[in-house]
Amino acid sequence: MIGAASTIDPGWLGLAASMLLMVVVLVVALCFGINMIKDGAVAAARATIQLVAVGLLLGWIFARSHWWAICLMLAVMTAVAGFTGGQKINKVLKRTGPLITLILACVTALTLVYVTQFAVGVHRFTAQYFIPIGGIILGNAMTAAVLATTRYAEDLKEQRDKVEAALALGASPAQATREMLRKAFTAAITPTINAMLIVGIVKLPGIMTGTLLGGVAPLVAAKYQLVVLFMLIFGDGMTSLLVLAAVRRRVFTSAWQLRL
Amino acid sequence: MPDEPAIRLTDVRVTAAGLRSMLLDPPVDAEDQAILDGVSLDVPVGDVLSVLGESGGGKTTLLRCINRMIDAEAGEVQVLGRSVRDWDVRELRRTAVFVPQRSYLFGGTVRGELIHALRWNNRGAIKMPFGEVLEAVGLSVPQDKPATELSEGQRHRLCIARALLLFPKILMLDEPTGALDVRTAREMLAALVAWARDKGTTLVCVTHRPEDLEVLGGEALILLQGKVAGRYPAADVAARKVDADTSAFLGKPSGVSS
Repeated sequence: MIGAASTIDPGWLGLAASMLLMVVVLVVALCFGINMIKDGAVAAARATIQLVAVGLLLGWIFARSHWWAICLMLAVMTAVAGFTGGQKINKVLKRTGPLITLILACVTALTLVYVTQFAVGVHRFTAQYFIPIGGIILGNAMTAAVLATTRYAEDLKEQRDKVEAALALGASPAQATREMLRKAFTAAITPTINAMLIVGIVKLPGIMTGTLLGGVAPLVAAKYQLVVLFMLIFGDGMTSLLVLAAVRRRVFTSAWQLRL
Repeated sequence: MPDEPAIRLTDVRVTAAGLRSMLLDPPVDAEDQAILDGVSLDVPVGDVLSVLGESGGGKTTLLRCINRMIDAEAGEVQVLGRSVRDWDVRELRRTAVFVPQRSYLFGGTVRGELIHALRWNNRGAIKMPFGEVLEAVGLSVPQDKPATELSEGQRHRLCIARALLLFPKILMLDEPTGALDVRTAREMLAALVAWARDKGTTLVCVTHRPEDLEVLGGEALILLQGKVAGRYPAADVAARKVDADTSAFLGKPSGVSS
């Protein structure tokens, strides 16, 4: 357990006080002739409803820690991530949602088991660890998959004649698109790599902030953050590679003809 | 089967709708027309065939059926007596090599560009006649020169040399002289025809320029609106000794557009 008991509850009044900050800036903006009241109100309402709902739901799951409830929650999160990812890619490539969901499920399950068993050492299937860690993996891996696929499909469309020129010389789809695959993978993984380079210097990363607020010793918080970073590189990289391989299979026919 | 033609097309039909249907996300509002409309054709082994016709008349599509870049919706395409669907794809594409109209470089020196194609076909570069294929397209540049430093015309010839290095049984060129001046074009075509004759390679060449035919020799196929409008000895087409419709398309010898 990360000393959850030591965290102070802001309370509903505290929450209202923090919301006042948002009201203040929106009102000041209005004095400048910028009306963002409506957008702000919608965003505030959505954030509040979504987070309170998740808080209540997780509270229920945490209290019981039924294995099936944890699994169900993770499954729903995976499906939402896969669907959202598919939607984001829709402009360049349609119907990738199920594929991304499937790959996200496999990679997340593998990463979760490995990290909890060998890195953190959680030997019981507890919601407190599995759901937040699963969420971080899913969110990042989904973004990576979207970046990789979008880049690959866009490059393929842009350079379809060049790819066909290679195919006409006997290149396989893998050979003909090797450079594009490399660029797509790099595009997916670079944000995390860059984040690792400056982590802790410019600002404290999310997990470290969270665990510190939770009352954990700073060095332990730093270790948690490192575990998470290595885990994210694996999750992002593996998901990107698998999704790229699957997409590559889909955009060519068995006779090595480009279908974009 | 020594008597099998290098290429045989039997009543081949390709439509815009058919090509769209193989796409993952076919556009919905596109028009539908036949690109190749019942094309039948034999090209005997070792022959030279030029393909002429207006833009959008199906010339490139015809070549793309032969190396199976696209599949015909109806009819059959045979290469060396075997349906293209029965060939191993890589085997087919290095037997009937297609060089597109635009030149594409894959990175590296002149020699490096040539090696790309060898590597894709799991062939080693040792003892490969790099000098011979460069000579066959009339390209005299140092092999260690970066390919990006070549002129457009030189790049195109390098692309043809890259195809030659696979020693194809059939070489298909899509407007190989487009980026070249008249004199260089003649020299290159003459060298290519000599190379093809020497190796027994069948040469299929799409061209816009009737004057290319004088050098290419062999026969010329006129493709208009997806149909074979005529097939004549190349010399006759070059001299406009053909029927009225075809002549009208070819224009007067002096005012030919490139």
